[in-house]
Amino acid sequence: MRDLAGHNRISTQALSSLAKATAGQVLAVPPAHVRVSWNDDDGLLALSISSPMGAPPLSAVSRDPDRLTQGGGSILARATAAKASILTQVEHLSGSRLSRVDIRISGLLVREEGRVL
Amino acid sequence: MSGPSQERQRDLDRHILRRETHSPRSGAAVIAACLVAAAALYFMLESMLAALGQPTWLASPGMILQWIADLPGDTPRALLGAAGMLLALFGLIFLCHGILPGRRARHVISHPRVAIVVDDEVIASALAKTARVAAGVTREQVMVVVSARQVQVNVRPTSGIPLSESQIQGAVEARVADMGLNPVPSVSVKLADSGVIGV
Repeated sequence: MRDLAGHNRISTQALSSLAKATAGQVLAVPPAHVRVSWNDDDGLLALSISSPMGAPPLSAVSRDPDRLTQGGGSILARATAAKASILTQVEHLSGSRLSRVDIRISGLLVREEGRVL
Repeated sequence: MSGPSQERQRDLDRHILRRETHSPRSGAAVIAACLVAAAALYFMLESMLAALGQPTWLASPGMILQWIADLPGDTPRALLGAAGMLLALFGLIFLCHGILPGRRARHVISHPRVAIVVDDEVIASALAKTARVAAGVTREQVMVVVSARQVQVNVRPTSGIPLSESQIQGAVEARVADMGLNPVPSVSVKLADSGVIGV
């Protein structure tokens, strides 16, 4: 293939929308609830996410403890797992290398149907 | 074209290129010559007056030397100091003009038929474009400084997209070799530690 001259650029806004959509999907919330910011980390991208997380209501969990394990475990376990999956998905979709993903869970969106993976 | 005229043409080219790439020293030389001529005229006048037995016009050489030997005498010290500084400054300027090569920020491109002189900014701009295309970054992320024997390429990468220093270096070196500059500058590429986000 011939190397074509030219330069591709992915704007910060596009990267942010991508991260919002990915985080919304992983954390089971609408993308509009997710706030993201980017930082430079020695030439790599560092992503900070502040977002609520979708969770089943406590009454449903107390009725059926299996709901917790079905949904991915505790809040902390899900947030920890979300870091890795957000990092790989954003890297895969944007083609940029991420060095870290910081997640701050700002609240819970309680939903009866629970989290569908 | 015959041999001798070709030879003359080459000499002329060399002369013109030398003039274009080095700053002229004629101004300083003219001032120095004027000063020397004025001093010589003055001393000639004084010696003529002395030979004719007339009184001196300003001061005899002996009086001047005596005055210098008697310094500081009753002259204000501040004035003397200022005059000394001024003289030393002029001396330094003339000395630097005489010793330094006075190279202008220009390079010569070797060509068999025409004499080509390029401003360093033009070279820097061309090399910046080469580096930009090789690195795949925007215009603002590349800065090139060209001096007589060195080309410094500073690249600020886009965050998340690591760049290869050797690839940029290779591209810029190939471009410099293509230009056939004289003197040949060496290329050094420096990647910034931090990147810019989403450019």
